[in-house]
Amino acid sequence: MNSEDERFEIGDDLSGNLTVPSKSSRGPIKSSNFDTLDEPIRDTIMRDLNAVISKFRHVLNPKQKNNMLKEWDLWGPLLLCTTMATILQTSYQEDKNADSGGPEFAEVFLIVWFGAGIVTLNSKLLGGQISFFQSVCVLGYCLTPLALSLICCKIILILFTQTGFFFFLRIVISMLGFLWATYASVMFMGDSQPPKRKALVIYPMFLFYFVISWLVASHTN
Amino acid sequence: MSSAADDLLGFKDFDDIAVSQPKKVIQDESPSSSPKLSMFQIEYYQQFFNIDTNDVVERVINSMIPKRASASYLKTKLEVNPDLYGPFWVTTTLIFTIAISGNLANFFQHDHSSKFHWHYNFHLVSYASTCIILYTSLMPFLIWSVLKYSVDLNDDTNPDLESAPYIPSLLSLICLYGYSLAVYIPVSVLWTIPLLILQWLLVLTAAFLSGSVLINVLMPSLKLSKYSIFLIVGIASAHFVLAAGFMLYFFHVPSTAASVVVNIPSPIISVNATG
Repeated sequence: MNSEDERFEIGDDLSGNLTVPSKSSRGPIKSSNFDTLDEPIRDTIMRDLNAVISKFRHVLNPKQKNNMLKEWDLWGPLLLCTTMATILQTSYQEDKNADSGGPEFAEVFLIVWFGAGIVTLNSKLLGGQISFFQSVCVLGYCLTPLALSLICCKIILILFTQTGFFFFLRIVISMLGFLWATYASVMFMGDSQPPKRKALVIYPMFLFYFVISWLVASHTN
Repeated sequence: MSSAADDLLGFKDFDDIAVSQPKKVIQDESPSSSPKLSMFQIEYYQQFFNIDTNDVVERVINSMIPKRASASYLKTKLEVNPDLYGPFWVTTTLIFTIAISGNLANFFQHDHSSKFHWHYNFHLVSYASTCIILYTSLMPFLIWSVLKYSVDLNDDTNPDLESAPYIPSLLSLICLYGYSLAVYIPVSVLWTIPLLILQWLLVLTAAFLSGSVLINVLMPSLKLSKYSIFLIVGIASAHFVLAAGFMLYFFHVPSTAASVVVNIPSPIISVNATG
């Protein structure tokens, strides 16, 4: 965690930062003449993986505010989005009807990325002080609670025969995920707006997560 | 403002705003911005989103309650600072509310004791978005072009007078129409209650409330046209048909639910009949 803190100090302003940290600030490798060209692939992968995992942790515990904004990446959102789209998509093997009603993989994928893009564009247009990809990164990582609730719902769907009680339980689980996701994204992004327009920026995020949680709640086998 | 030809989309008006009301334009992003902005800069589009929470709430309420807005509302408020925030998010919200509560209505009316498994229909989103987006873009364009075609403005009238005749810009009409759909958002949640009489009552109430706001606000401009009576009837009936269409297509389930249930076993029956 010591190395993480050092790296977060590099970009002091809120602008995005894709540079690999310089040798002096790279903590886990002890030897000073170690270069990213020579390091084992394992270290390279683990460093990025640790950054992604630490972001997931931040979303699940959204108390420390700005750490996530400074170094954005889109690995987490991509992972979450593909996972959710894979689970949510209509499975044609089980159901031969032409229109069984569920969304396709591409539709979920588009809703997530276009939705995040439009919400971000909206906050930029209202005068928000945040870069485009930072915002997409935060919105994408904040899908974590919803992805977790989708997995819970899927397990319930597989294990139990569906009754009214389990339907109700699935709705409650996805609502919890929705509230958590909205709370986390407001915690991370709320301060980047002029105070008079805060509600105008929060509302689209609310709508974005609400639509996705609707997809989660109404997903059936 | 005297020549009507070059205020297509009202861009000219925006230049005026930037000069006459600099305090309302966002200055944080670029303090030294020139009034002429390129179409490819984000600052150019920020002028359409130059609005605060209070204004949005005010405009949404004005769109639902008749007589709350003054007759010169369009000219003094919307024309001065038309925003696209409200129309965009009102229509987006309406699309998803209709799709979600249409599914809910279907779920409530579904016979849960039957073998047929209930599926939600994600594709209601596409149908809802197509018709709502068409309505909010085509109707303003039609009204604007009819007014352009039929109203002959005299150049000698003083354009600064509040009562002076004028044609609303296309952008302010889109703004007005976008907000006018706000009343259907709570209504579409209430439409899930499967009582036919209540559903029709909601259609009438909602169409009357926001339709009368539309006509009341547009009246000063409509009166100038020689087709004013057709325009008024057209606006009111289009608004009513939209509401009735929403209700019948997305919420009036009994007939469609019955057809779905009938459709499923039909292949088996036909196989039995032939075999």
